[in-house]
Amino acid sequence: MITGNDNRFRHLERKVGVFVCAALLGVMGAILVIGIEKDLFRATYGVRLTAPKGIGFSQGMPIKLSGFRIGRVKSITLNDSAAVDVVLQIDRRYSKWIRKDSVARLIKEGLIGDYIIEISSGVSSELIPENGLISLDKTKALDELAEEIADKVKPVLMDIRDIIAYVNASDGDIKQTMRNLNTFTGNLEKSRERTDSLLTGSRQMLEGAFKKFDILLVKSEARIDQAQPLLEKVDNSLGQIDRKLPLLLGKVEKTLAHLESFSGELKSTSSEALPQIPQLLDKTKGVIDESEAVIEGMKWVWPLSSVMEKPDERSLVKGDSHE
Amino acid sequence: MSGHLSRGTVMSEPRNLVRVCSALLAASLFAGCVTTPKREALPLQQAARHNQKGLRAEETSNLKRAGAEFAEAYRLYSSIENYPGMVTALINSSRLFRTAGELESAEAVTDRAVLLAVNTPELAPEVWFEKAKLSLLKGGVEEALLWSEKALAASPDTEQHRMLNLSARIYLGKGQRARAGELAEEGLKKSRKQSDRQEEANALRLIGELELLEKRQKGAIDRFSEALAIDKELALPRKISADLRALSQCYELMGDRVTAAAYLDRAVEVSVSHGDHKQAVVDLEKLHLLQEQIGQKDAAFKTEELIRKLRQVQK
Repeated sequence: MITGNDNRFRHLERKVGVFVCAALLGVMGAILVIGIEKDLFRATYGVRLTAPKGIGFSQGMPIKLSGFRIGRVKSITLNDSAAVDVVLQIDRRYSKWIRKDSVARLIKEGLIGDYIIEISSGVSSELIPENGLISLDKTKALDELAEEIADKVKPVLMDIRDIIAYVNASDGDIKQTMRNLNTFTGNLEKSRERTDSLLTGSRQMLEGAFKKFDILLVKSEARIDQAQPLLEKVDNSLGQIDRKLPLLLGKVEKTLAHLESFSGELKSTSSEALPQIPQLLDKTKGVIDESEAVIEGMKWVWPLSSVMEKPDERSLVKGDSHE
Repeated sequence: MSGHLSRGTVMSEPRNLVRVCSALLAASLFAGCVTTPKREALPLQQAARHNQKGLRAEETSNLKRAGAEFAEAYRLYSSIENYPGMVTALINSSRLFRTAGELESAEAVTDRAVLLAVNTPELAPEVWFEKAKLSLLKGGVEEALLWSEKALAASPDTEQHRMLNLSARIYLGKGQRARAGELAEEGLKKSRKQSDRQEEANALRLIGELELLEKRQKGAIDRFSEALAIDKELALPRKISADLRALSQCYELMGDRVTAAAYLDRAVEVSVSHGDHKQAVVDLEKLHLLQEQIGQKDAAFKTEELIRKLRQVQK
């Protein structure tokens, strides 16, 4: 039986009050978290961009700068030129990086990730104002890239197909070369047989040559026996030279002694005369110079001056008018 | 004592006195015949000697040696800033380069001479003459005319004939035959007045060329023959060859191809003997054509052989 004096109902108002307050706090906390998540409490500003197609863009998609999220896509609308106007909502704190020459790019985060808008910070000193236009860099889609690669690979594949066809052609050079190679290896056996027979023939020839060489040796021995008396004569002559040579050497030695004394005298004479030569030469040169001067002077003394050829007074190479 | 007396007697004799006086008079007269040349400063003498050596080397066609001598002369003249000497050496160098066919080098030294000529007005006409010749060789007829007229106006009477002949040649190049003829005739007169046989032949050759252009072949033959005689007298192989070539052309235009071939054959012989193989080949090719036209088959064959040989020599 529940009564008013039940201990469970004691302080009931206070407990309900606490519960309601906790619930209110929870609701406020959730609102706060959602607000923070949705950038409701941050000061933002809008920047516009125009894309030719809306593929990849979605409302609320993140906008990143150097990998950090700085805003979201606020709205996407189709304009009068059938292009897509995208409004970006960017945290005002990062407005200093969004400059006139900044470029937005639609990229994928990783190979299979979601699309994001990546903004590069420009170098211009001028910032993009509120609702200003940022340019979009056109990045190639995966199918466009695949098509481009296919266009490049296609001629290579065609070439490979041609090469294979060329190799496989029954009358082609490769097949013909292979056939020639087969024929060549077949002929090699015949060549080996011919070489064998040639070697046998050479062996017989060599045996014949050795026999002839033996005969030649016997004949040479006989010739050496015949030359023996001649060698004895040469030996006698050498003996005579040996006897006469000391006398001859004695005479040569005397001659050399005379020559030595003569060269000694010559040396002493030249050592006395040599220092005088430069002076002598100087004097001679002086005499010659003087003689030249005298002769030069004599040339202009009458009557010699009348018969002397006049010196060439011309100083210029003759300038011919027609060469 | 007797010696002293006899000496006194000798000196006092009137006949001996007359002899001594006559000897003294003769000696003084003889002294008047002696001239001592004025001696210049040593660097000037050396430079002049190098210039003279260069001229002698040029006369013997030793162009390399001549070039070295003129360069040394220029160096020595430069070392004492002797402008007439410097300009002289530069003109000589330019003429050498021009003979060797090195036109760019010739132009470089001439341009230097043009700058220095301000200091040597007496050599300026020669420098301008050189400049005109170079311009003409490079095909700048108008420029050549400007320089030659400048040279003609400034040159002394003794050099006018050369300038006139050059101007006449330039006018001929411009196609102004009448003016060229007037100047050449005047050049001929002045060349004869100055007894410059080489320029006389040049003027005659020019007039001959003009006569040939006017289709007066006989007059041209007379002029070229006169020029040939002078060039032979002066022993100038290139000019002789040019005269013979011109005579051949005259006879060819008159329709006498046999005589034309004979003159061309003589021109070839002169060129080959002088070592001018390039010109000889050009003339031989023309001769070959003439010989084939007049039916001298054997001669044409020999000419062909000679062309082949000369071309091998040239290689």
